[in-house]
Amino acid sequence: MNNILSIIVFLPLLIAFLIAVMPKKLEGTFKYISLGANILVLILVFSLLGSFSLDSVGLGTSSYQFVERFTWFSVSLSDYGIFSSNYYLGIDGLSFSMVLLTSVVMLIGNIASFSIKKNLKAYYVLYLLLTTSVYGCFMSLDMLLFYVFFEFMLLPMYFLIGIWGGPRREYASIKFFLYTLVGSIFILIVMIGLNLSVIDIDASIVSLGLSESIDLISPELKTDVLNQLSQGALTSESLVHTFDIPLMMDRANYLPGSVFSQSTEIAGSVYNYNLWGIPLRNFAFLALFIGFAIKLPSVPFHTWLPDAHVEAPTSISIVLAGILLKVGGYGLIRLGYSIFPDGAVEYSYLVALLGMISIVYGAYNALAMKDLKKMIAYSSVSHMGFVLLGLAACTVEGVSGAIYQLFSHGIISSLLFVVVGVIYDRTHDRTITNYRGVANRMPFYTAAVIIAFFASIGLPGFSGFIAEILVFIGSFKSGVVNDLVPRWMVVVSLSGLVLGAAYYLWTIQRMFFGEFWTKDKNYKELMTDLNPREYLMVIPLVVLALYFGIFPSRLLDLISPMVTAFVNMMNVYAN
Amino acid sequence: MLTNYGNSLLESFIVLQPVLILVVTLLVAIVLGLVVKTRNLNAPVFILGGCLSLFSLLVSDLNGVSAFSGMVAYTPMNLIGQILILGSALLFGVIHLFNQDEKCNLEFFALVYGIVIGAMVLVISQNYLLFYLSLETISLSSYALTYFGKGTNREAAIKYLIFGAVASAVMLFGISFFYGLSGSLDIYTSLSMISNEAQLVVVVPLVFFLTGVFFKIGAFPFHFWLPEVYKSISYSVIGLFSTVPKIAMFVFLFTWYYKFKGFQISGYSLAEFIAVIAMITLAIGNFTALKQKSMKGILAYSGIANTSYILIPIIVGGKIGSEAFLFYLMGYIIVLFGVVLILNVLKIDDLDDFKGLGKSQVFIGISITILLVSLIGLPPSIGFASKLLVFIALWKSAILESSTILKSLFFFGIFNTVVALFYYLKLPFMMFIKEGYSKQVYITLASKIIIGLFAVSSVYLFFKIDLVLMLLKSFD
Repeated sequence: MNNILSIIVFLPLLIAFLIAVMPKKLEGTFKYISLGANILVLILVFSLLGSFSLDSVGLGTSSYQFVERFTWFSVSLSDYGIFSSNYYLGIDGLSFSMVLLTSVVMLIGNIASFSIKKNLKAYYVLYLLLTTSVYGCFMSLDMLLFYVFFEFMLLPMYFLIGIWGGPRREYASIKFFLYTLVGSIFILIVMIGLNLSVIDIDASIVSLGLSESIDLISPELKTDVLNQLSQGALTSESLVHTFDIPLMMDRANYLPGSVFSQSTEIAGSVYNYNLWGIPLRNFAFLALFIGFAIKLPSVPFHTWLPDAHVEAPTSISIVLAGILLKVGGYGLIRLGYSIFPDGAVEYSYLVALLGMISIVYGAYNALAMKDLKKMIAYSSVSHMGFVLLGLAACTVEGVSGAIYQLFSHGIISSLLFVVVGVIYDRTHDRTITNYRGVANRMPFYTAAVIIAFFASIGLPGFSGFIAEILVFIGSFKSGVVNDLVPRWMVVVSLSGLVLGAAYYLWTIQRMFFGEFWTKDKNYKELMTDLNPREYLMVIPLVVLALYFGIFPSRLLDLISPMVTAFVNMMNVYAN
Repeated sequence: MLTNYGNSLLESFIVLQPVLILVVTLLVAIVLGLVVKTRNLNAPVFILGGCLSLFSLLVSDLNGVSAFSGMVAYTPMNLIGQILILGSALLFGVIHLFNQDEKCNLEFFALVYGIVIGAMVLVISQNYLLFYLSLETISLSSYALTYFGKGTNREAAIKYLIFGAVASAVMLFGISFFYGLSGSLDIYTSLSMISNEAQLVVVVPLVFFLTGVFFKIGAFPFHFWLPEVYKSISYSVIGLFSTVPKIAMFVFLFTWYYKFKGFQISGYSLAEFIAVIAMITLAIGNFTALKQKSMKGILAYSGIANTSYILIPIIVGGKIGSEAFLFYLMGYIIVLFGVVLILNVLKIDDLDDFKGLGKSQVFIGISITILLVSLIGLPPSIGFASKLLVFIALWKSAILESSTILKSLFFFGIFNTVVALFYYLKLPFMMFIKEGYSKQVYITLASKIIIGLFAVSSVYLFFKIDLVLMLLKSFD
């Protein structure tokens, strides 16, 4: 099948339509239909594992697999040139690891959705729409397509939190929407600038009439046209402006004199447009960084996350922490770093600083939280800080660690929200101080919580450990090889680990150990141990967290070609 | 080159046939109204007339034709302008097909004919006299249409009349200056002569003239009439008011302004002045809309905000400006009439009354959410495509002219989407997220199908950007 990626993206959409037209009296079957769709997608995604080649190289057009690319629209805007966009899907190690994560988390989220009781039709339609847009986001290699999927995530999420959420859901859902939309606007601005700057050479050759079709273009002709382009000898009417992300990574494709172009000599880059002495390209990087840092989220853009998590139903919390935050990290690597490596290197200090602040500030906040879910939300902020720290280092270990952290946090945070959901489903109370000695009443649940907490602390044997150790090695190494991350930041960040242990162990001690006591006496009957459906969610996630903690090479092999190419590209600018 | 039928009166009338068809339809409608005592015929006759007019516009090759000694002329821009006006008028007619119970009697429709005919003439007029006459045709019909019916709207209509009369008087004063300076009433001859004049002499009539124009399109500082008028008219008339007269004025302004593009006032280009006005208009429209408690209020202020988005491609001008401009207008017509149709069927104004409506009217709720998402400008919707094109055009122009004001307009405009999100989302918020008891509404299958068509096309056209642009370009 050579359109398997499209099938993965649009199968959930198709099922969403199916559920939408089904009569309301079949309401009980919706969850199983949605579950079936998610299982089917999971099987399709894992079937890609077999044929995914691990030795693809480079970071350009050739490094993506299962590529689907055809013209979405291409229309002449007279003096602007040809305005075009492609339907362009493809995956490399980075996106594949995210797609694998999505397939698992979406399935777990679907099982968690079984506790949703009202308005099932709308719920599952929105859930499947969300699934489609997440897959689309991770697979798109065309920025407009990416942006469409990226924005489309907001609407289902808004309603999922707004309709099925907790008491303050109205506030939380609109806050989520507004914050993320501000981020998207930053991304949109850069996207417009990139479209003005980036030229699809192959398509331009065809539109200039120099070649019959893209396949027939000889390398000589291409070099010739590239030379003409750099001399500004081509008429602007027949240049094809594109949203193609791989083409944006190559500076040869930039229209000379356009906003984001720079001279082709790497040493002493000359920029066309500066603002207050700073190249516009650096502002573009900052804009993308803010856009994705809101999604990630990083301090100081994180305040929407605790609200959204606290109000969202369990299943949506799982998806939010497990997948949607990862879109932020993914976008930062795929767009921010890959398209503007010069800006990324320039501001690596800032990125690392925000990473460090997120780690420490998030951990201190988690320590202070009385609500279990809020504590985990802040621990997410803290853990996402590691992604920034690893990325800022621009070393193989650091970047691998960042991607590993995205993956591992996806698994572990899902597990954490599953276990919080267990107690919330029973008593509708998540206040830590309202419970004592839960272990006496719910021993298996306590075991699950302790495993989840230890995985999140980064205990050796769990995937979080591998991710964090890689990030620390990478960022320490940065002080030796490229001097992008100062050592003191890494040292301060290390304290985040200690704080992490503190808030988790303290919570375990307060909630689970000691004599059984609850603030409300009625809780006693409600607090039954894990049921089979909850085991079904907990066990796979625990197994995965352990598996990727013990066999890190499974994931590292997948991402290493991409990471190597990425770091090589960054090194050009870092030295 | 222009084919001139200037010397032959008969041939000139043939050039004017799309307008004449509407005039004849109006006469037929009046006669029919006297003979047959039913209102049900008004909307079908109106649609029929509109279709015939549109048909004659499309089949007769009018591009590049001028008539009546150069009083009217067709260019690709105003040809599409007329098509858009007729399209909006037809959509207005379609709304009234489903809305027979309202006070849409013959007088009501006669005034609508007046607005449409005035707008049709306005876009092709090449002479200040004809321009002023057609503008007053629109204005007088609009005042009367606002006055129409019973109750509170009379106060709004009188205010509208007084302000409108003052604005057009000021505009007429400006036109008289233009005439005095150039000795010609022909718009473009006069413009080309004026641009050589000393600055200060031109600035005064320019400001006077733009007063009238800004009043009509509802731009700052002449936007104040709009909310009150909108709050006192029915939804369908809101749809009419925010499209037909505005499109006519925008299309006129596009060509008119382009002749003035290079005009400088103490070192700033006219583009920058209009850009500042667009920014203030946008801020007023969006931020005041936040406080609105009724849908009509939101539509009024969103109309003001959209005016400034349409001013952007006018400022940019040129080929890319015209493409973005027409695309935006087309998308706006489709989405606005979709929203207006739904609200017209629901007949609810107060936002609080929408509480819980999404539960009982799922289809309507989803449709209006899609349309509002398009008005916000989120993908995948035609609203996103138009905003993308408009801002691409603006960025290109801002970089070319390296103008700080245009760059500020770019960032200000694009970030205002967030503000827009807040008030457009109020309705889906009330419908789906707030709990409450909503009034029972019965909606016929036919109107559901039409509503669905609006919602689907607003999404479908996003995926077919090229199709729409090709269609618009085919008149070049």
